[in-house]
Amino acid sequence: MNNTTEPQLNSMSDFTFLEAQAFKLEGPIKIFYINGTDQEVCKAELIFDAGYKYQSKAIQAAAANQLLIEGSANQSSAQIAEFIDQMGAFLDTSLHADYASVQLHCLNKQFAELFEYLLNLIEEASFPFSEFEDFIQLKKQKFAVNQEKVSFQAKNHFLEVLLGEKHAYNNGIKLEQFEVLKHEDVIDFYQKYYFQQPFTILLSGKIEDSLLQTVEKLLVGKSWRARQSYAAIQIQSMGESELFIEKAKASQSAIRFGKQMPAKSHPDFPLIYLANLILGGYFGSRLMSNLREDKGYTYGIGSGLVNMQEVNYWFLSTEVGAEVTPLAIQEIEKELRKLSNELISEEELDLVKQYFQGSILRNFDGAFAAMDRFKSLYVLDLDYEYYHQMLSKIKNVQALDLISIFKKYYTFEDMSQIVVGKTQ
Amino acid sequence: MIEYNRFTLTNGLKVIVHQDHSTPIVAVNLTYHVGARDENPQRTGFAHLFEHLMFGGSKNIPSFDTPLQKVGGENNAFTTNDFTNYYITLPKENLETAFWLESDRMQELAFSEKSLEVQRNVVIEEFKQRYLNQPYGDVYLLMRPLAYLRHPYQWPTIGKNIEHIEQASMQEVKEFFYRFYRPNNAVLTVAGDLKVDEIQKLAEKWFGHIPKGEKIDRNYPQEENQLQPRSLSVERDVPLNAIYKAYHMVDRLHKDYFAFDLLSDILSRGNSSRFYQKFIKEKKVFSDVNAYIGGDFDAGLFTLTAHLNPSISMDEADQLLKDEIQLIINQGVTESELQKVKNKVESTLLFAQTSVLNKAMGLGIAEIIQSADLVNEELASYQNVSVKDIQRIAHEYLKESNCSTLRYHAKNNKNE
Repeated sequence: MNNTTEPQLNSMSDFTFLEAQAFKLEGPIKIFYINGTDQEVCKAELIFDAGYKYQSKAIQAAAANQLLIEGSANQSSAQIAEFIDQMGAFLDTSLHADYASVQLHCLNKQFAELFEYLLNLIEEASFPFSEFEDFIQLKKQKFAVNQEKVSFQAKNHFLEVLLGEKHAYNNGIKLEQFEVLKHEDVIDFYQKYYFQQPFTILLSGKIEDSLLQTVEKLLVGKSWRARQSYAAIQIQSMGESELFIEKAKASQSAIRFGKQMPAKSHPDFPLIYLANLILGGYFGSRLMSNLREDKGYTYGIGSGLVNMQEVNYWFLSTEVGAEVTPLAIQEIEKELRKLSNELISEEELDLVKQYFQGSILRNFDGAFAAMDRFKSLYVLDLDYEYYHQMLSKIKNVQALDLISIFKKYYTFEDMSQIVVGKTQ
Repeated sequence: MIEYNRFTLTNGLKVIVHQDHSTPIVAVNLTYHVGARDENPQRTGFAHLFEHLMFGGSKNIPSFDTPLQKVGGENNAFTTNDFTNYYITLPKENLETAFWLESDRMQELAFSEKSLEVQRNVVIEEFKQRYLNQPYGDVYLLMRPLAYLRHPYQWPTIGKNIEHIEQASMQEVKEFFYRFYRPNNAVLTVAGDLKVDEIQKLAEKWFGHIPKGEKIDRNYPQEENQLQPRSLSVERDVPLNAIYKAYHMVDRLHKDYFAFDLLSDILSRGNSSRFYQKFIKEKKVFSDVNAYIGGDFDAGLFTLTAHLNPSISMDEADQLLKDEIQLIINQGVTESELQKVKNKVESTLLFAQTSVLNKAMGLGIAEIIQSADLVNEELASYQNVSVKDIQRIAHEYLKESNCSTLRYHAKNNKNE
């Protein structure tokens, strides 16, 4: 056997995205679904316009989101937990800047009963005071433990540095804010952003007609209010450019860089995306190859793009040996300069293009993953055309195009920097 | 039910094939039967360091990742105390690239000095990131040698200390490779939209010629029964006191393994669990509390952990956990709470079967343990557990004389 010959490279077959379908309903509730698994399981995700950018106090939106399923007019949090667990189901909540979500994972045979139960919980959420107290107490303790982690501190200060402390998208938390939030703030947030507010339902897994009809039946006759009005934020201030937090005994420093970027709808976005991949977006990236695979400064380094309704940014994050902190930052700078001055080879460019295609294929693999992709489009008011554009534009990118993208968007001097650990 | 075909090459490589026509992605999973328990006690952390070296180039391929990324694939690996698992997902059109890559590094690594030096540093940074620079990060470095006096489970996969990794030499790397990374010590699992005879041909073509290694005898020093409680107290720079209690339990193939798993679920899985309701919601004594088992092949540990609220002392916390265990020993659990955790296991297993990679990994690891069939017997093994079994194992194993307790004190905590 001759192992020196690489198997022939076959091009991937054309993409047919597993696309979400709309299930039309009278009224303001929107439903989308993807039917695509043999197993008798499904996921229902409810999306509310109740992200943290809508809050008037820190932690308010998070408390409302988490406590939404911790008590209702006739169910205590213990009863809710017992019911969900007895059904072998999973009920979770999560919070983002733009939206809040509630997710139900369950076996199909129990969906109808669980979904009805969930709708009642949300309609009749009661926010018991004791649950609120427990929530604050546990969050405070978790916060104290997290504060010991350099990576957490860097992340917790990140948006404050990038956007400014008062910015609605800054989700950094300070210990004293736990004392400021009141029980009535949480109820107030619920009244405004959840109670009878229209939401969107995303269904994935084995989604047959009967399941859709169940959902329809359960929603018929409910009353909804008009969507809460929202004034887009005016971004007046930029953040700081640097923040150093000394943690003398740390054996590693956390480093985080960031910069605001154009939105996904911007014509440069596909190139910005590809540039990020090359720099720090996959295992073979320039940063991983240099700081980990060549120098051994870190267990890992990566970068990515975050796109929200009103804010878009790029970030880089790593933890490096405390003693090599300045050297690591120098190398990051060096890689950035190299990419804006030297053409990348055809070979490397082809590789990231192929890697990009493969990653799209993986990201659409299966009903659950495909629905996550749909959600990321939906919350930004985009459609599948975004992926078609990305695929065709990235296919045609030239090395020269990338130089100008790096020069324009990835200059070291324009980046905000946070270091927690050894800063000297 | 996960259907599969299984065959063995003449060099001993076992191959498992599972067909799933619903996805354009194939998963290629290669499990080697070598983990931290196979290490020399003077060179702990070696199996894991070795996992890193497997990406540092092989005889004909200078970089493992590059050709894979070129065909749109992705890969990773992990090391446990019992085995090391490598996995790749890639578009099915380029399945053969995965065979080429895995076969070349099974045939012969590049054994580059540069790669050894760099990966030693990377692993040392990993050691710091995960064990030293995290609050409570060193718990398993402390707990394992307390619970295991003889068995090689006394060190975690990262190793006993950084020096062992610093001292690893190229000679040792080579010996380790030719002893453990042989076809007769591995299972290759391929899952996706493919044909069995196609995989048979590819397996022969790419792996058939690799020489088999010598048979590996596994004679680890076994633990003697623990007859006295053990305890250790440490003080660290953390915000909250914590307590850890570990009881010796059964091995992975013992039928009571599933009873231990379900008991840990009854105690702490989900918000309706005993620990959550009693300790977090009612008494408000812990901010975090857990019960779990490891998936160890040899007799493992049944572990309880809790982060203490400042209102409670270490002694009180210890007593509360003991009381809760005693309650199980005295009164057992109810049919309905057992059924509840079984329902949860059932849906978890079904959800896991929606991914080709999960299926491939499950089959491969089961085959290393004993047989891929275990994957399909798992649900029944859980369903067969009775309330009597739960009470019996609690009575038999969860006694203080069989327990190691680690008291992890927060510096400057005024309650002790």
